[in-house]
Amino acid sequence: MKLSRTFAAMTALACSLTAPAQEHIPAKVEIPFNRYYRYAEMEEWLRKIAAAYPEIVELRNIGKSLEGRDLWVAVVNNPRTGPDTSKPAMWIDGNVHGNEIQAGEATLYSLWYLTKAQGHNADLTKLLDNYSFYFLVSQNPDGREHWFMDVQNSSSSRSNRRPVDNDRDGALDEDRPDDLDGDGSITQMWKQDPNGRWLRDRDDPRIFTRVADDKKGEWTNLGSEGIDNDGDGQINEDGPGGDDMNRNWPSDWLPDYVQGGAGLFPFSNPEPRAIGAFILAHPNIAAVQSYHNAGGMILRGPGASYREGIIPGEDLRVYDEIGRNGEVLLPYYRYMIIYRDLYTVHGGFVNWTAEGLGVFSFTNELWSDAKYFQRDGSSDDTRRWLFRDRLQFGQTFTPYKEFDHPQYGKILIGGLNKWSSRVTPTFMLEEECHRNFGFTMYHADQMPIVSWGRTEVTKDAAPNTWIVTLEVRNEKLMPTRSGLQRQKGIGVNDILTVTPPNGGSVDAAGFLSSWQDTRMDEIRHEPARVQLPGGIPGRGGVILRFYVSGREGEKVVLKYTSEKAKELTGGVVLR
Amino acid sequence: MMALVVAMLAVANDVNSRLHDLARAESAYVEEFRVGTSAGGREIRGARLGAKTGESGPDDRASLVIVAGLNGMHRVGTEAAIALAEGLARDHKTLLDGATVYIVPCANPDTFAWHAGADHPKVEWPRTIRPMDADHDGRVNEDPAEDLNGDGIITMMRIRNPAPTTGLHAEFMIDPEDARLLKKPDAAKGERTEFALLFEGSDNDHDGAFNEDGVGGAGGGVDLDLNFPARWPEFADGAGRFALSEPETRALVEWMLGLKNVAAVLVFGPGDTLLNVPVPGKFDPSGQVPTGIEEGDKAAYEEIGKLFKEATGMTGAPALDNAGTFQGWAYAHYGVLSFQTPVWVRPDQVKTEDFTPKGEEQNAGEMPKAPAGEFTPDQIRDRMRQFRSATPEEQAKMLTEYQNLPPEQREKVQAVMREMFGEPPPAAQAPAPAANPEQPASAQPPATPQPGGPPGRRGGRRGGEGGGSGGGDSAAAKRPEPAGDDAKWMKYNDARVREGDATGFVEWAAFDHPQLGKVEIGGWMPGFKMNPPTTEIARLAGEQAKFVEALAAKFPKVTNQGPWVQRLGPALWRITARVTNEGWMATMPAIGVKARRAMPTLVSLEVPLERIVAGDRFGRAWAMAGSGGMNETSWTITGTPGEVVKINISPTIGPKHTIEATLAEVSR
Repeated sequence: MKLSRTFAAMTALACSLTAPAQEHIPAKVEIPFNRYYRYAEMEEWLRKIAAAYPEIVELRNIGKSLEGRDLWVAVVNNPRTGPDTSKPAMWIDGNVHGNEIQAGEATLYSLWYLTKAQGHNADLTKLLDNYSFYFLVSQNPDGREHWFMDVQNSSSSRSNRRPVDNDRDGALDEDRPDDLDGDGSITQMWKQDPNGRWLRDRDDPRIFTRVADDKKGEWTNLGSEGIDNDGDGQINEDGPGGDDMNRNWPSDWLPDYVQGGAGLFPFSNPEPRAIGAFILAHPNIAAVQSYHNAGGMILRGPGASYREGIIPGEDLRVYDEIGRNGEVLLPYYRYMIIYRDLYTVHGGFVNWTAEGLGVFSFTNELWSDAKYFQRDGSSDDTRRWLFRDRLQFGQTFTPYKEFDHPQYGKILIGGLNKWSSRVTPTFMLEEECHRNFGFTMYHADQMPIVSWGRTEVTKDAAPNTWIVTLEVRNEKLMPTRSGLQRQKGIGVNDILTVTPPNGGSVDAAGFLSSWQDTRMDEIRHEPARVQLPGGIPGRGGVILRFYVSGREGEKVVLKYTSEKAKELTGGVVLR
Repeated sequence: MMALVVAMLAVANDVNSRLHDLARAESAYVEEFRVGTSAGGREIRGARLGAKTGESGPDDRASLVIVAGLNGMHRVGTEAAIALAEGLARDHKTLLDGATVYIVPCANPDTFAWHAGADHPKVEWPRTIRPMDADHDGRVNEDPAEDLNGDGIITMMRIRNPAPTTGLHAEFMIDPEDARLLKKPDAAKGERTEFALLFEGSDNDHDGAFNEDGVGGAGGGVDLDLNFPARWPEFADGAGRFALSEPETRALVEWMLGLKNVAAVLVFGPGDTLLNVPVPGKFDPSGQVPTGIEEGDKAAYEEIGKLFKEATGMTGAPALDNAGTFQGWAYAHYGVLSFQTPVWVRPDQVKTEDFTPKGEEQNAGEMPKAPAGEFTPDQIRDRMRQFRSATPEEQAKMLTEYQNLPPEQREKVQAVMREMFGEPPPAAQAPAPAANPEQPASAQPPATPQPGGPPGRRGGRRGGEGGGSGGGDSAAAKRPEPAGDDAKWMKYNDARVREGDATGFVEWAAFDHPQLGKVEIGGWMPGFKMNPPTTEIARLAGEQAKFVEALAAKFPKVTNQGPWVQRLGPALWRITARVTNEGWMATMPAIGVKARRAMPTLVSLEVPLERIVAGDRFGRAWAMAGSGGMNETSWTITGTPGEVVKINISPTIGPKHTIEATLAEVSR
């Protein structure tokens, strides 16, 4: 049966194939991935993709951002193999930090590629037969839009737009950075100063170097471009926003005084709240990827050292296998643990999905300096400048210009602009998107699929009594219930129901540790409805034995249900 | 003999209408407000008590927030909160001229309304009544507790030597001190297990677990007072899917975040932080969020605890484990002094003899020996309460005293009893001392069949249930546990019964259980250990009013002195303003300084910024200590003689004020 289905699928593919090779999968919507898109443009692409592939893409509005932008989840599912909620699903999002923009393009690319590949590429078509996908291109559309449209640097506009009185003076967002030189970016201010601690490089005046403690410098760094808008003697001390929306989730959430930007309480912001509601309503989500920038990392939880033990060893083996394979697919990316290798995060998004919901979740930090030259070796400043000059033609740098500052007098303004440092150079964007797409599809392909394994029926001693032994298999890496779900009692247990023929009964049931096992570990209650809190392990099976009464030739109906696996039905005939 | 007492507390059938009536009757002081809407669509409302006239508005004055009724069984809290609102508005107007009290009497209206319904048996259930799948088996509410014997009450079942087919194991034995109670045996003394203990009900879904998923059973639902974000016990049964997952808890937090000038929070709920001062200097795993209180707030907690004891006479109450509670959030995240009291405790935990009578409203002391002087009604009432919880010998003694009173005194006592209980106690029919006088409670508290915690019962510390991320035991695994001090409860109950009161303990009675065979059904009446007779409410609200008076008297109060003006040059002036905290509490407790939610006290000068030669635009004082703690702010400015400059003072707690400095030649 399996063979014939594969054959049918291949025939179908052959008929629909018009392009000869995988590299040339035709797209009904052509999206250039050598540039970045404002949020409204992203929305337009989403609508076009949904319109071009109406059978498999549905846009669901799950809520609005603080400033009223729509949050769209693109549900990708092949309805011919069942509704999206009937299959294990992967959630893919990006851009929870508004400035980390390529995370949005990576998500859009993944949606675009997966949808155009359906019916054209055997592997991805099969993936879409087995699983469904939820894409959210930006968790923080306000932050994204303001990063594009306002003056920013590479790290600003990370948060949302909830006004916060950072300097506790009773006024909100009253002293933002200012684009004094009009280059569209917030760069650095420098002042000539006989007691300064910095020297300007004589060969390359773009470079300022800090002098040794016993040497005198000539320049003082005055920080980010701006003036004292509120006249309190401080510059840029109360800019726009905001809460760090990757600190606003309910697992290990801690207040602002422990971790700045946490928000007022978990889910206090509309975007996390809407996303959280969607995820809680979709317990079929079995895998999560949340794209960020930058640093070239494949991150997993936990977010805090004291939660080290929360992820059981059986789950860590799944993480390790996916993460290590990811390092191969993503050159210069490293598989890391958030609290240990990056920094402590309380109440982060993947902390919630991984540690709170027990879903296998990664955060990829897109782009790494090491990719500049794509050769091993240090990414020192000289090499970076070479790259910026020869490959980016100076586009990420604003030359220093003199400026008459109201507080500081004559100063220099300039330096690396917002397109430097964290954003993937546009000519490398498509590759970055594609490699990460490949990784997430590999991650998705580890989601569980249950199937019936070996089944045996033998006659028992009494007339019309039978011993039915069967195995439920899962050839994929991920279990149907993670170790964390089992330990903490998250979600509904997997359930195997055994319906005896009319007039028959299921008299006893139990687990066998192997097919060689002669005595079962008895299930003392409800033998016809077996609960499996641990589900079916990855690349393994569960063997069950049932003592059934029923007439010869009649059928026992079997059904296996799981939140994170497609329902499996079957039957055995008593003979 | 007719029953002296009296039904258990009737829930105020309409909390909001009583608030509304109060706001109309006392419109110069009381304003209603809306906190939010429950999941069941009921409005959660409160009353703001504070003079609407005066220099500042009620929202600008130092305030106390009182919240009750998070726990759906704690009717005494809700009743006392309403009575307190009424009492304060009527009789404590002077207090309300200087301070504001916000009272939210019923934060969990859905569960209260459900309990008030007549279409189901009485049951101990403090949590939300929403669909639940506590045992993760994909079936919702399929195995609640049930009233098998049809007495209208869901109590407990005890099963003697359960057969192996039941899947039950005996864990308890009859308490030799009281055959109605069970205890854990001490095998070292040769004691043996004999009884298994369950909630009343069947294993409806035949999964081997009794009453594990549904109202009245071992798990499920959300305990609203386990749903707040401070040390929220992730994965614990009853904690909710995430902190503030419930509309009631979220609404309360959002409402609180909109308030300014909150000096303290007082919660009416099971569990106490006033007699049991939280442990200072201990923190959560991040090392920053206190599990009890900051060292710097210890003195305030001890002093306020003392005021509370003076006001209520309470000497004992179960301590609160504050993980996930509103009280814990109000302290550790919101950053204000935050307290909780069960409002009512068993009478033996109230000490009355320490307080000598002085005047009409004073609690009664020892009943004077006959022949007695005049008794005030309060003294008599107090004596009645003492009687209830006294040992049989004590009661016999008290009855003798009563009988030896002059006739007119006896008459008076009877009148008070009529008022309290509706019927006079004919002395001849007063209960005789029991044949077997009970022993005083031993050091090892006897056990009882009452589960120590029906889920979410926040009386004492939750054994094994709360606390960080280590929870997650399946609900089905929970077993009822004896509560510890049930012998004392039984004594209290027996005393009440002797007075003719309805019993709080349903005697064990044989029942033929369809699944278990012969069992006995009995145990505590739902809510018995939390709620006194309704006749107690007025007294309890009076005690709390006394405490509120004492607490508000400790509020911070920022005053200003000066300004002082010094002429430094022809057009150069130094201005100094001093603000002083005349109150007893600091303007911000240690936790407030850490949390930085509230604004510091700001002192600012209203002149164009370019005229300030020296000094900060804002003088900031994060915390000004109580009892005269002060802060001085100076500016040097340019200006012309005779010019008047305004100084704005915006305290953390209390109304803003503006003072004026005249740039004059001499100023000291």
